[in-house]
Amino acid sequence: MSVSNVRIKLTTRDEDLKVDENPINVPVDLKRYGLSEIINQLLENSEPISFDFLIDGKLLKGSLQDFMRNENLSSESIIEIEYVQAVEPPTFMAAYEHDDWVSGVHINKSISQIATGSYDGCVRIWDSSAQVKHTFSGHQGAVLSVKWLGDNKVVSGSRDRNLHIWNTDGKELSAILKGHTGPVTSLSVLSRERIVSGSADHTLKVWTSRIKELPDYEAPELSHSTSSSVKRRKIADKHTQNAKVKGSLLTLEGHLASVTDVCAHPIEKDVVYSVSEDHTVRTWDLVTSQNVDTKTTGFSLLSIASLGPTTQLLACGSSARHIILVDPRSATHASVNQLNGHKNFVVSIAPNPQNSYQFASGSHDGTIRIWDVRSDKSMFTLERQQKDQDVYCLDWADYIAAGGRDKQLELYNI
Amino acid sequence: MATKKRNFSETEGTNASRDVESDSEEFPSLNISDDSEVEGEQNADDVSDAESIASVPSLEGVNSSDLEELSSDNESLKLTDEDDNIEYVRGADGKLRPIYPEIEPYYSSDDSDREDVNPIGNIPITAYDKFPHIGYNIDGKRIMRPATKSAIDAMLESIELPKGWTGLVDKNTGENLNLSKEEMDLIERVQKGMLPNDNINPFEDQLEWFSNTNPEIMPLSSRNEPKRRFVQSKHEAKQVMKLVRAIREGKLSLKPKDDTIDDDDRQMMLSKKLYDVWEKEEAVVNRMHLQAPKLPPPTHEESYNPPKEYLFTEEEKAKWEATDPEDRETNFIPQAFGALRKVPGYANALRERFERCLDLYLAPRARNKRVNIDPDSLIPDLPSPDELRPFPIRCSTTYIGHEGRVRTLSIDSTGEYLATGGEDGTVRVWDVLTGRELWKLDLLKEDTYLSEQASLESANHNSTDHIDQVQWHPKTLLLTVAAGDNIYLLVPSVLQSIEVENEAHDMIEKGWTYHAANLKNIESKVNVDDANLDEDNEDEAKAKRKQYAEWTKPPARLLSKGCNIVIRCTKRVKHVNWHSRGDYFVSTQPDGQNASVLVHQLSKHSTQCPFKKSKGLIQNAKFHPYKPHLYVASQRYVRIYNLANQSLLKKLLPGVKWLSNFDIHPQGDNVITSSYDLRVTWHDLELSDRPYKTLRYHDRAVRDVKFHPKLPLFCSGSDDGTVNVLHDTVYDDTLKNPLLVPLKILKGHKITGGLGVIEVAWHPREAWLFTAGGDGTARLWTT
Repeated sequence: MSVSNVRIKLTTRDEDLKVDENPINVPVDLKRYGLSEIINQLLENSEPISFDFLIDGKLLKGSLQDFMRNENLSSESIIEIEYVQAVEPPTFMAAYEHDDWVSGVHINKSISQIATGSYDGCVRIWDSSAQVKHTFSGHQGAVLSVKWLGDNKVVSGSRDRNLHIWNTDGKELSAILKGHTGPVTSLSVLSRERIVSGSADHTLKVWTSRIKELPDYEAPELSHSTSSSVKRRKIADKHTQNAKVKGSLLTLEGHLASVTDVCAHPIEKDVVYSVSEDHTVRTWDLVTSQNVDTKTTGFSLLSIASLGPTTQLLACGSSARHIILVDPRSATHASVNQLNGHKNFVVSIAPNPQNSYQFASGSHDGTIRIWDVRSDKSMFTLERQQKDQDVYCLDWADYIAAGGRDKQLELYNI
Repeated sequence: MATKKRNFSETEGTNASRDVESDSEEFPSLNISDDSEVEGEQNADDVSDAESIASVPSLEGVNSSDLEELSSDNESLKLTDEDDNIEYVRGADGKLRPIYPEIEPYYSSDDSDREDVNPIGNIPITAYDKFPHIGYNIDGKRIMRPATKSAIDAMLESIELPKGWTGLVDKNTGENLNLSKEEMDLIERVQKGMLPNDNINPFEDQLEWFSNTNPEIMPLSSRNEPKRRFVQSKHEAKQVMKLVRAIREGKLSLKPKDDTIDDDDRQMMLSKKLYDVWEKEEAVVNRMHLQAPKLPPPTHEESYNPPKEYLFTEEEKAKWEATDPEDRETNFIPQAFGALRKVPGYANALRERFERCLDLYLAPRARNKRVNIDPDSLIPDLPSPDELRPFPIRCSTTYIGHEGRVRTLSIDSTGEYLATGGEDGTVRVWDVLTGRELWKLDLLKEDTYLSEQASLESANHNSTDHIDQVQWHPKTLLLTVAAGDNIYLLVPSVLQSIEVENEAHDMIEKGWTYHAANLKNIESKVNVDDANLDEDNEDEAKAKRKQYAEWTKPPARLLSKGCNIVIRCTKRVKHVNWHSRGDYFVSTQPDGQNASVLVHQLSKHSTQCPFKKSKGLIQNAKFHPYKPHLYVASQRYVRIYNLANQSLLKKLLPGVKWLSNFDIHPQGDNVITSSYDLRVTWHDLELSDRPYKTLRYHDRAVRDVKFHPKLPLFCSGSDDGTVNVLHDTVYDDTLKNPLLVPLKILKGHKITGGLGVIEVAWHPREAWLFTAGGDGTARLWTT
């Protein structure tokens, strides 16, 4: 087969890596590696940098020829190729061992500490030297979600239906936030120190870390108090005696099944997205506490993440083993794209803080996959050190931290 | 004239004989009796033939009639002739009595075959021209001239000549002499001097009786062959030698033989083509002929000198001889011979040929008609499974923890908590998504009552060391557990809201007050059976009812674990099923005789037994989703009772030997059953008592079937470790049959101890399926 040539124009948004924009002739069977070599030669780099290439917003995988055939591009015209510095394949860095399944993780970049929540009911703070700095125990059930509130406060949501705010400096429980009638499945921290929690009782509640602003919790009156139920009540209340018990600012009702994940709007401060097992993605306006928009899909949705201000897309992990990309601005289409690859529930999604096209997803199939929204296939697949151990939580900030059934918090360098 | 009259007689019928009689006077030659018969048979077309017969002169007729006429006239004459020989003898009365001479019966006296001729002698007929008669007969009476024809007849005859007309007049009768064609021919032949009969061949082929050349099969003589037949002919030898000598000396030159071959032959030889007799004959193929199957070609071991490895060793040979001739792999022993000529005759050749013929004969081959059907047309037109999504496809979560089999499982109404019960005696509650065990209660250990009983009657209770059924309340987090003889009502503390838990606790404990009141105030309320009882029997009935089950408070240890009530029954409880409203539940005890099915009411803490008589081995009982109907499955049948009317509505006959379980469609009009004899049957209650479809796809006993509460799906779990998921669309139109489409076979459970999948349950909303397996795990199958 004779190798024909095609004229390409190489562009980039990175000023440091800019090359001459005049069209050049390249063989059509060139792949990523070949194109990277061309740019490296043009830049006269001593150490080659690998690049990813985008044609009309789509990531180039395989040869130019295949891409052109698939996209029906004419080889006569000049093809404009945008190149960006490629993401290196992640490597395993470290593993922090827990006593039980790790179900919540949040990285605080500024003080390089990691907060994790575990099924043993403890919240742990890890410092960069892989040591447990603090262990907060107090939850009656598994801690399903944990989030940093600034540098010295951590909020945790648990199966025991409560949120706890811990002070890492004083190593104490600041407050207990009560109100949910089902396990708190997810937390999201908004600006102005506000916290949004999603729960299996089908509601979202809004709280604030400024404890004084929260109203006191009023326990609902029990109409029928039988012997056993009163006893039960006392046991439950015993733990909360030495901490302030506060109620929620706001309750958002509308979901028909348990809320599995919440996330904040990347730009607007008063908009929150939530996904639920009732197959919907709902948009909430906190100012009016209204359900602004509902998008219905065909599956139970288990996780959501906002991909950042550039794309403003939402990535939702589903129980049907895939990730759907939702554009909250579109009124008609429920989903923009569907990313297949996982083999079980996708329960956790973390966006790349540097690149709003990329995100990582963790699944019950025991893998973490890294995706680029411009490509249908995952870029990298990370296996757990112990195979086939469900991943329950994930966070991405300079590195990826993922906890799971193997009782390990594994860190991956990326 | 005659023809005309005969035609007439045919039409008139009855007058025929008289007319003919009148004819006979005119034409005495006619044979009346014969002709009348002929006439009756003959058609009008054959008149000409009849005429020809009639025209043949027959003298017999004439004579007989004449004799009759003359008999009376000649009487006197006879007397005179015979007077000479008559002797007169005086009799007893004194009168003379004539004695006639003896008549000598000799041949010539019989003149019955006498020719009736006109014996006028050598006198020309013209001599009588002037007389009215033409001669005298033998009796001397005149033979009257036949009536002459009228002028018209004569003229007609002159115009059309009758057949066989000769123009001659019969000398005897004076009539026209008619001759038939044969007679004319005969005359002609005699005139020509030929043989009178045409059939005689005077020059027949001569039969050769003797031959000198061919040896005779049956020799006429037993003489030996002469010697010269065996001895070389010297004369011939001489002649041959003469020719040979002539050839040697060149006197005789042999001509090429070509001259003797004629042209056609030469041409044929030149073209070297033989004449094909069957050249133009088309081969007739017998379509019904079946070729005998060919024998396999001989192999190495059948060779006369096979390679060494094919020859039998001593052991092989001994083994061959020891085995029965029918079981031998080969029917001969391979042998090696140095050369083909040393091979002896094969002794079994005839026997083998015979056996082969016998085989072919005894196993007649038949030509199977190939059915020409498009294979695709046989497959029912079903929608593709892809169009019927969602349905469970793969195993997402495995719930591991039970030791021993997971006997039963139930998913709560919110779809978040899965309860399982196993043979290890524990009840566990799991988080559906993660498979985390949230709550666990070792019922068998905790319930002292049960363990006491077990120790007392250890023999009986060996098999009850497990949980038989767990079932969530259809509305709250209240779990009913059937274990041993007891039903436990408990609220697992799964860290769900205290309010929710308390609600369930309250629901259970509320009945105590009612129960207490009820015991004091003995008034029958709802017992379906009791309605039939007399007032007098009421007390007795109360006493009986108490025996069925007892609602008791559990031991303290159990109470602290969330168990609120234990219903102590008399026999082992196998199944517990809630009514959709959540107040009543039905339990089944296969060994309980007439109390096999018990209906319990939660709000009143009461138990009723709806049946007086035993209905057989009860497998399961369930409530209709919304009607007051109770479905009871016995070993062979599913009976449907109307609880309001206390009547048997229907009896379904699945046609299986042993039902294992059944389920009712959420709309209530269809029932599926599973059976231990591998079948799953679908009953359309509107259609028939018999199954609408009997599905047989499992390899082992089918343990459980379940309808999805919301989606058109159902599944069956079997001991072969698989779960089959099927789509079912039930149409609102009652005329349309349900559409069943097999969707997916879920494989994953291992078969342990002969048990694969024991129980299945559908997620209340999603197309997710939970299965309990004999391998100690429960599994979640998701889309």
